[in-house]
Amino acid sequence: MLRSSARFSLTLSALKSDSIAGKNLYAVFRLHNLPYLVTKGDKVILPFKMKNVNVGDKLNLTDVITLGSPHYTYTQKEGISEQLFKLTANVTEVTREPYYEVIKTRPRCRRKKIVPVQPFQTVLTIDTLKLA
Amino acid sequence: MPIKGIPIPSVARNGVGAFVKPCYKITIQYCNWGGSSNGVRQLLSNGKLNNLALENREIMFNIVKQKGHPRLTFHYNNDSVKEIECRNNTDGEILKKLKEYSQNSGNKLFKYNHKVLSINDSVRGIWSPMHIPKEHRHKI
Repeated sequence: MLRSSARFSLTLSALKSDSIAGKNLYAVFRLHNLPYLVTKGDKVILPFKMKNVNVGDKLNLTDVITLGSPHYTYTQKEGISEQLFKLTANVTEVTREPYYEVIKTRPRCRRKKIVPVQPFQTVLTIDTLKLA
Repeated sequence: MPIKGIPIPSVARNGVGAFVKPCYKITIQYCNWGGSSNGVRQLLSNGKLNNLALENREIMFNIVKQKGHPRLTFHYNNDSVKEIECRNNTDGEILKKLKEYSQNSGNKLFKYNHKVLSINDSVRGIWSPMHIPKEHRHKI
């Protein structure tokens, strides 16, 4: 236990010094089990409408699997402890993709069905990313 | 000649730090006589619009009585204006449109085939064979 905690602090101190005061820091967080590599100020464009969320809400992203700088990475596949970092995102836009139509045909049927498609999009802006 | 550093101007990014809602004004135009404005008239009388306005205090709601078909106009921070037809719509449908377009940023719709949009420099650096110690370099 002692050995692991010592290794822990060592890794993060290396990350801290290598990412110049968090300037060169990145994180990989998971959303619906998909990984997203982000730095501060990035926009995460999700191809769906997030449930129970409005524009202006601040999300605390806790499922982070990697914290990294140009030379070091700290990865925990089961998730990094929330006490070691802070990653928040603002919901800045709930919009749609451009409109298009899909022509559906069935075999041995001469009729074409035109289906209008305009899927939702949610945009998150990474607000804070720092090591604790 | 003195050496000058390359200035890096800071870019204002909405949502990094403070967030200002892009939609600041909604104009609801309706007619007091026409049948296509039925939904808007219901919306105004049954108090649902009042609730929406109370929820979104940063948006100004401007109600205009004018002859012709009803229309919703959304004004955004980036000087863009979106005009939405709502003729013959029910009050629920109009409320849905109001909620949807008030959450937009006013930018042109676009499909992004990647997950993250970034204007920062590459955080992991650009790979170069010259920055690897000589003994570890790839030899042809």
